Amino acid sequence: MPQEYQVITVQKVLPEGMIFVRINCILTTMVKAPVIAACFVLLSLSTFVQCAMGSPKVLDFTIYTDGTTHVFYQSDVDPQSPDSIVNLYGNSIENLVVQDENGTLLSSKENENTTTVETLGSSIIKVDYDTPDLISKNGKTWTFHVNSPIDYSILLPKNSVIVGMSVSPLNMQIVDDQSLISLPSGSSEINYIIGVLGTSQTATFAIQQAQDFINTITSAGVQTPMALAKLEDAKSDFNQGKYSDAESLANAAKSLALQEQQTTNSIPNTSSDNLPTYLLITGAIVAAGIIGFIIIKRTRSSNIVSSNIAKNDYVVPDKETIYKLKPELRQDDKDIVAFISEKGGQVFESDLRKKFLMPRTTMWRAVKRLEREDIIEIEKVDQQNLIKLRKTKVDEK
Amino acid sequence: MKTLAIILLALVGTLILNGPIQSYADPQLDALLQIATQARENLKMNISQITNVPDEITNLFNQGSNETDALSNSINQNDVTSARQHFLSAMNFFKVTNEKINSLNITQTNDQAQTSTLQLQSEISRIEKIGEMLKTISITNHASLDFSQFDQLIQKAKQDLDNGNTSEASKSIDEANSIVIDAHHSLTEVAKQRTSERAKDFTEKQIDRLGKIENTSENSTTQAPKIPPTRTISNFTIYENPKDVVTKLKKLSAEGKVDEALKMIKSFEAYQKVKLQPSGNP
Repeated sequence: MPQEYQVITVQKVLPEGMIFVRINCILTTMVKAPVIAACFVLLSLSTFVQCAMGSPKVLDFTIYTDGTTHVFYQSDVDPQSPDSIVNLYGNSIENLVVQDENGTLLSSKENENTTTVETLGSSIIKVDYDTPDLISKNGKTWTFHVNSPIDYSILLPKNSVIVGMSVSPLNMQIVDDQSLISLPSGSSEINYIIGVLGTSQTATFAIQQAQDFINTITSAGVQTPMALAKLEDAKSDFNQGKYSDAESLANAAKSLALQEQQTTNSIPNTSSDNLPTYLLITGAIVAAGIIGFIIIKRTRSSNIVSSNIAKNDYVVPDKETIYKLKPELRQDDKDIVAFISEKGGQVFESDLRKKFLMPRTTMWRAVKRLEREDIIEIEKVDQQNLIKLRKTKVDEK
Repeated sequence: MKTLAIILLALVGTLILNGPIQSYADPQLDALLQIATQARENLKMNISQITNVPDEITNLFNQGSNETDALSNSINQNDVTSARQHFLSAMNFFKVTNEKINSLNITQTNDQAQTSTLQLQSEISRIEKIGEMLKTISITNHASLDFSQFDQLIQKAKQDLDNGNTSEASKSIDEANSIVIDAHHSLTEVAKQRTSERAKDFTEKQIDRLGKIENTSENSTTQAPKIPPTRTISNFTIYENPKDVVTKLKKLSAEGKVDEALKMIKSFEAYQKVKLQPSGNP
């Protein structure tokens, strides 16, 4: 019995000792637990708060080569309100589509710079539309300007290079050969050029042009060893993916070919082979003389008349003058210019639509294109757009 | 224990506060250098093609180039403020350089044929994207619009462009654009037609919701003195009491006057929002 008692005592003591130690650890942990739990809760909440602060609004601009911008805007809306008003960028809005979070198409009414969306219980709206009003063009340079209340992104067209920027971007990455730039809220301006140097397309084009030119003059009997060597270098660089160098060398090859042609022509040669060349040069000199004489005569006569037409220094240019000044115009744009010119330099946009059987948006894009090129100006007359050929100075003409 | 708790909370607090701010304070400096370098390389190429480059252009370009070098140095030193300043300065010089080059009115070397092709490619891409978006919307909203002709036209336009036939490509693009416009009109009509059904559902839900608010307020303010039930502002009646609103909404809904019901919900919501805001006026 005493032995049994002793055994029992030992059995009791050992577990008690062990339990005591464990309780101590548990107690310490229990005291810390609320603090740790509170930390986890705060961290979790902070994630939600950050999401709530940053995620509900998205604004993306996709810029196309023709100067149209696609705008995508996503925002939270009050699900208890039957409608929501969304500000739009630009006055001319095309292809406006509003969807809710489930992709359900929502009805909307456009006002001047806003649209009222019948949300009817939706909590998120996604707005898509195109506008030509965010971009202007001066020479070869395009300018995108926007004043955004939130951070936004811009996807520039392919083959474009930024040559001016009024703000520091937050980020930039290349997506499918296009620059995707994130910008901070506020007013910003980006100047860019399309069809720039250094791309595979432009290099191919330059090489092709140089090749054509060399072929033409070679067939006329001009030897172009230097130009051909340079062109070979251009092709070699192109094959190595050095497009900038390739384009540069191709342009140099063309210049060399031109120099070689001039050198060949300048060598005195009395042989009968060069007779047509001399005839051509003589003809050109005579023609230049005649043109010069006509110009002088016209200038004199215009000096006499100029005092009478001082007020009419600005005139509507004829279509041929416009074509010469803007040779890059598309054929359909040329047709529009011709029609306006035939109608005395001004027509209503509705007349243009009737004449060319174009949808309203297509015609509006064409008109905006011509406006950007400084060929026409748009005037509001009786709620209609009056399209007028822009007047130019007589001497410019 | 208290010290440990304070340290932990301080750490968590720092994490929370630094989260959103950090993303703004750390701009992608490489992007700045990339943009500035691209601009410099491009202008350099442009200038190399000009015979007798005016000194003004050379000076402006050199200043921009120097600023780009300074930007690179700032990035190496991780000096964000200085990098930003040099970037903006470089881009400003490049912008003016580009304007001066434009003003020289040099014959455009990369000529019109290429520009036209690029424009048409861009138009195809734009119309294709709109078409795809409308197609998805049509499927999601069970509008069953046929886009097969649109797909064919886009394919044809791409082929024509690949073959260098820009006028045919242009025609196909215009036709595809017409289809997009028609599809857009059709979907707009679908949306309008379905709006009335959605408006009815919305009104029913709002009646339920306001009914619940009414019950809650009745339980909590049984002893409270009643406020005037309505007020009129220039021909427009605002119902302050949810009970009155529910009654009126039910009546309008039963009479099929959904538009009026929606107006009422809107004005009630607006009024509730104003009421919840702290008023500065007496």
